[in-house]
Amino acid sequence: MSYCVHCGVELDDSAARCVLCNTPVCNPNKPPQDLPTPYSEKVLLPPQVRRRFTAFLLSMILLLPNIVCLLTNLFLPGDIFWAKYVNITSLFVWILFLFPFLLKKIPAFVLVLIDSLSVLGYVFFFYMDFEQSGWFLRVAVPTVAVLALSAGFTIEWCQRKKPDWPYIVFAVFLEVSVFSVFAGVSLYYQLSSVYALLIGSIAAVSALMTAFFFLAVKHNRHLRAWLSRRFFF
Amino acid sequence: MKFVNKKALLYCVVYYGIIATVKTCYYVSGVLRHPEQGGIMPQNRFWFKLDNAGKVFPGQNTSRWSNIFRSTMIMKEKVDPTLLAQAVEDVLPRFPCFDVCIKKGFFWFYLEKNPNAAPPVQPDINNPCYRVRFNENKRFLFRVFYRENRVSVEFFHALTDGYGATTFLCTLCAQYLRLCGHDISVGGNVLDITQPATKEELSDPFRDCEGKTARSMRSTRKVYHYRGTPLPAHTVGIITGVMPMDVVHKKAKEYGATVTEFLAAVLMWCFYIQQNKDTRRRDDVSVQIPVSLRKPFQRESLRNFTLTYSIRLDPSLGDYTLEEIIRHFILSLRLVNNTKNLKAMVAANLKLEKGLMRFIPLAIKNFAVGLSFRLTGEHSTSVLFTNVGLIHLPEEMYEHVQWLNFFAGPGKINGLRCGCAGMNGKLAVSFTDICRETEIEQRFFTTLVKMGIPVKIESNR
Repeated sequence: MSYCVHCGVELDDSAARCVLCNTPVCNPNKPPQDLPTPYSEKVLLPPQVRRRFTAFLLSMILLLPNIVCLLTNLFLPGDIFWAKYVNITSLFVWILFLFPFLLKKIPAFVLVLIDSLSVLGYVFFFYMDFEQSGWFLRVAVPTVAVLALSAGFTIEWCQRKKPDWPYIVFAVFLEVSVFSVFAGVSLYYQLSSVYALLIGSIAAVSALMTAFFFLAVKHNRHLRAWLSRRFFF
Repeated sequence: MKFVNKKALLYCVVYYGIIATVKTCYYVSGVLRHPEQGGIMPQNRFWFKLDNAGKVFPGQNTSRWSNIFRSTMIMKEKVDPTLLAQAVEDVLPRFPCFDVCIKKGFFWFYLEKNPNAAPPVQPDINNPCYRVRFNENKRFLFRVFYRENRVSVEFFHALTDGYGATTFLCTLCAQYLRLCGHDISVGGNVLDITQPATKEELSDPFRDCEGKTARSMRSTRKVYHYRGTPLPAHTVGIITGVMPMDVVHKKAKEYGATVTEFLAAVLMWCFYIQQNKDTRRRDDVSVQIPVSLRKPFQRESLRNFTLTYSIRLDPSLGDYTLEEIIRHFILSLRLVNNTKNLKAMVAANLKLEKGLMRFIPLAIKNFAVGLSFRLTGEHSTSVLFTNVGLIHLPEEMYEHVQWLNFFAGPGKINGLRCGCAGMNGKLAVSFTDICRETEIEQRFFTTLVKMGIPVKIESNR
């Protein structure tokens, strides 16, 4: 039998270390044996969710109300062709949330590109339908492009460097900060409103402060341990 | 009445009338037939209502968490799974309240006789108290595991409490030993499987123990919750300390406490120290103690029949020593633990399932119970300490078994729980934890070692 020199408890014959304090077992009178452990090594986990099948099922469910709306609008025509709004919104939701799960493996930057194009397409639909004062090219396209570029850069950096979670959070908030500045400036030039610039600046400063807090978490071991315990990360 | 479609109303009345008539005929024909001809015996009732304590758990069952507990018998010889499976089939008819599956009604969950013969006997796993799905395990709400010289049973709490599970395990092991060729009699926690279950064993005893005044013992004061780095989902760390029963009993007597009071007080002290180390806050430390109502109310039910007391310590009043905490714990528990209080608590719990509550659909009930469970249940306690007490077996069985282990699965909010059972001169105290850190467990067992109690540790970590 072995005892832990630190805790004073007797250990199981199969134990290689004390489970209470991690002190390794060193018993010169007893050669190591392959004794059976009290518990099995097999960990029972729930079966994986079939993502592609679930995405396909949800796509079909999403398709049904669209067909119903389209037929209703075709056979009971009103003043406007309202079914197109339902259809385009459903398509937008489908591209953003369901389409990625239908594909087997897709690079992150391709996903960012598809999402950006779908956002631009959705905005362009309403731009063409309602008002055409030129804001699409001056505001929407550059804003979405900056967001897509910064998101793509962050994802690429995360995939290459594989940083710790505080560093990822830092990068995300930094990205939000840069985007807020850009959105504020572009809206200021489009609307000539100081409020847009002010709101953009407030958002940028808040995001920047949060980013630097997580940078401090990354470098301060105690703060990180405290956060982990406190918020159960 | 002019807004009511009379034709539709008539159709509804006729439809429900036909269903009610067919169901009544089906049930009556089953009861009137002889049991050997497939009739329903009075003790094998077609369905059971969930008992008052068990009504909470099915609605709170999720894909990540179930209220489940495990009891393990450590034998002296290696277990033969074929004989164990035979023993399960032999024993199950003696426990009709476990031979059930859960069904969802419009207003309540209920238990129905399981059409399958017996649950499968499985090799043991590393993550005990794994979540329950009602359509798995042949729809049984308990699981049977074996490994080397160990037989384990895991029960969903809606079915029974620690006493019922341990009685089932002891009876199962006794039957297994009989199949191995040993002569084992009945007595203690081993029931006679040749006799049918008694009415008292199957009844919901809460209804007979209701007091005139309903009073809940819950408190809304803020308490300390232990936090740590979480283990991966669906895994749990178990640390068991086995110690000689007589030494622990003697040490508890030195403080004028029972074994439960003594161990629970040491656990409270560990949490008190942990809070001082973790944070500058001085929240209450509360230990939840389930109390079996079988002894005070003279009942032998195999279903849930426990209530819980929460014993609190207020660290904002000043610093405490271990001796002071033990004294505080003993006095606090003995002050509240009496039949009148228990009756009032039973009445308060029963009040929740009476009146308008009966007519609220199950989905709304589950939401309300879940909210209440989150706000007042685990939130009002720091840790659960459950002791199934001393397990008695027939004399000739002791030479084939070593000790018995009992522990509850981790809580939803409080990841750490502690279980305890005594048998064959040994006391096993087990900690279930979903955190990587083992500070509480280390402090608990080291404190006992410093008091002169030898502790042997085993774990799945």
